Amino acid sequence: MRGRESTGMRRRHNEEYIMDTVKSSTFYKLKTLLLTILSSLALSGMYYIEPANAGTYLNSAHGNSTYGVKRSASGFPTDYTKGLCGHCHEQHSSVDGSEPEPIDGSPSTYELFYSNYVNQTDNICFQCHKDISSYQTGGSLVNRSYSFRAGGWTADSLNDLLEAFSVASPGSSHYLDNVTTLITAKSWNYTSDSNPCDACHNPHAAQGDPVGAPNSAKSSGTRGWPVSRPSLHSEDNSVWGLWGDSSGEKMSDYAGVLTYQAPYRYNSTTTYEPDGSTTQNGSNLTDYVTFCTDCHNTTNTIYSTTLGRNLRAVDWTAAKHGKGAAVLDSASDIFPPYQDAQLGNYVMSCTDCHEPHGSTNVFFIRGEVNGSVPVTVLTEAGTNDGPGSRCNSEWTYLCGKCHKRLVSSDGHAHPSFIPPDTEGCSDASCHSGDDGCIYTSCGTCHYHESDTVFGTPYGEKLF
Amino acid sequence: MIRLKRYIFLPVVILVIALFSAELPAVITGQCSDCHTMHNSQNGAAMVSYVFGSETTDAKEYLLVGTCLGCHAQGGASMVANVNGIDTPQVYHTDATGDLAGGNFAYILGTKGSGASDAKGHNVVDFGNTEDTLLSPPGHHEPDGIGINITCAGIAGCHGVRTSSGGIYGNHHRNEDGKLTTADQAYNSYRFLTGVKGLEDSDWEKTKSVSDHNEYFGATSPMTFSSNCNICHNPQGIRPSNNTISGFCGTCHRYFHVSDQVNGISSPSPFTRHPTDVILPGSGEYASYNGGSNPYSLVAPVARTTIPDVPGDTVAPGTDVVMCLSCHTAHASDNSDMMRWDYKSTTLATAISGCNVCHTAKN
Repeated sequence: MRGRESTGMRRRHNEEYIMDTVKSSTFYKLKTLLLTILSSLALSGMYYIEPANAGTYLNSAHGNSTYGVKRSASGFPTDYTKGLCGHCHEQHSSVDGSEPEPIDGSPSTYELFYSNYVNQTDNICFQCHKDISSYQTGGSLVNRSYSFRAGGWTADSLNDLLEAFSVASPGSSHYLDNVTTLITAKSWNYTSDSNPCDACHNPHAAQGDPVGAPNSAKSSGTRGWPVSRPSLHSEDNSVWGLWGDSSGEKMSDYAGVLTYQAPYRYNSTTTYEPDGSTTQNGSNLTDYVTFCTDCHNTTNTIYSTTLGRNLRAVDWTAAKHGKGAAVLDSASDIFPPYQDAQLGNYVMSCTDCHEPHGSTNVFFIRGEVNGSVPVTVLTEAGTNDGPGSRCNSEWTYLCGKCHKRLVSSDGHAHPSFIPPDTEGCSDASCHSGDDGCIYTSCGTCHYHESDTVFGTPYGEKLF
Repeated sequence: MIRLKRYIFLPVVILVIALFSAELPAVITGQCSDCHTMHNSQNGAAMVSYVFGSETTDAKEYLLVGTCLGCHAQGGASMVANVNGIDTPQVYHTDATGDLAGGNFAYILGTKGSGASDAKGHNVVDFGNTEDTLLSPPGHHEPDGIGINITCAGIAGCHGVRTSSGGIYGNHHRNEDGKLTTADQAYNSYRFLTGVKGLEDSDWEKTKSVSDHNEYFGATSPMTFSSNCNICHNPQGIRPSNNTISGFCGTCHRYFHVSDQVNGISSPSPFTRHPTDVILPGSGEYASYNGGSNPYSLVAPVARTTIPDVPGDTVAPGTDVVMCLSCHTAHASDNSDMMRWDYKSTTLATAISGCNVCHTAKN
């Protein structure tokens, strides 16, 4: 018994020792935790620790610490890190007691180092966004065309924004004075001091697309989001966000129950715009329809200085290339990736045909469309020769990228009778030959919002 | 339970000690001989003993036993030094624990911090460091009459009476501490900055927190020059007519302050220079000043349009005011351009961290 008692007591003693040890360990942990919490509270009260987190600017192209803005100019500090505010904004209109280059003699609005906007080819943005004599370190800043970046047409020689906005007739570019006129007329918080580039881009948010690789085409791993909707413009960077970067802002969202079909990448039948992946439904493409129709809609009257007339209105909800009714008829014979059976379901994006900044074609028509070149449209009326040297047929450079049977060897799929005419192919209006050419340009009847043939209502949209 | 209480009690005691153990500020009291000497001679030795660098111990004006820098720039290891029994704020020291509110001229000379640089502060001529970059105060009118010969006090300085014959003289004796709302003389102005109102922290921010700091006076619009020299030039000396700390800076850096150079004040046009003495907007990104419930930031502080009785621990966007000292220190910092944060950091997030206190959506 004694022995068992002794053994039992030892066991109890050991258990108590173990329990004491456990209690002691638990108490020690509690003590440490308590001290830590109390000390942290005390310290946080005395020295408030401010949060640090990367936001919109640090994720932007300008604010990127690797390839962001970095001015190189006489009199300008060389040790400002990339992305620093001071590369664009001179807080005192001087640095170290004097004004660095470019010296324009007086302080500029928004503390910018150069006038915010002067004209089509002269503004703060173009001081850096050009390939020669750029103030960006290295002296050259490359920005490629949409056909290059999304289309994958890397032979496009256009390589900077100043060049894109300097394209002379017969080429075209977004005319910035007209942009200014529109955005300042709207209640979008723009003023006469605003830079028209800011109509589409938030300089404190816009990302490269592709990110940090301006001389490359987009890939699914290098995507960025460059635009912000003008109608949502605000000086508050936390309000005016990017457009296209979030769900609900993609072409697939715009299409809804309809279908967005991505065009082919250049010289490919297996990869698609905009990033060369196999994604075809626009879930990787910004909803450019919503973006562009902030301005180009049926409400805004936009005078074009370069065209000398108002721009045509755009109602993409009614257009055949938009959400409007389109039917399978004798003219419906289209190239892949589009399918005849899906006609009526397709919704196109503005960027399927148009460059955003400028191109050597009229109306910023892309130089590459649906995977191939050339696209050469130099007259609005389309009176130049088209493929195969056919007169009045230059629009078929564009239309023929998707629509088959537009070349003579294919015959003609066009409806034979176009009301109110009844003479079919031999109708004098269609094949008059008055100018020595037997063809009528596509653009005679087919343009944004057109629904008439030679002035006579056709009964449905013709574009 | 008893042991638990002990561990709650201990940190509280530590906290109380930490909060209230700060060195109490000194005032000018005591023996006249603490500061003055009749003949600068005692037993054949000079009594002038507080001098800086190559300054001599020859007799000084007002029978003082030292110079400005001799007392306030001793270069010691403490930001507050005992000078003949008087706690004396140091503008030049090597104290590793920090600096007083005005900053530390030691950064210019490189005796503290990351290396000597003229650009780190006001290059006061008395320190003997040659200014190699500037020719005059940036933003001053020309001719400026100052050049690079800026001093602690007087017409080319900041403190005391700013006339050609002026200086600090006598103002230590009449110094008024704490909340200063009169500011018509040097002694009743904030830190002897004649004409400037404010609330002086009792230990010059030797200890500082969101609720322990100076309070600066600001206005809702900067001074307007419009060819009116009297906004700064007063028969009693140079002083800002609007009594603000930013207006005071503007007396030498006019273009950086006045509405006719900053623009955007009375018209909807954009600012052409970063404004001071303007309300930090209460909307947009500014409403989130310093995050959360807008705690006062020691990195990018604001001025108040009404000087509080005690330091405020929060900032009110829509009411409080942007000032020069929101970005810059007064004397010198370890950063270029006397910035409060390292604007030239190679880490971008650090470089713009101070900007982001106000520009909260530009991070």
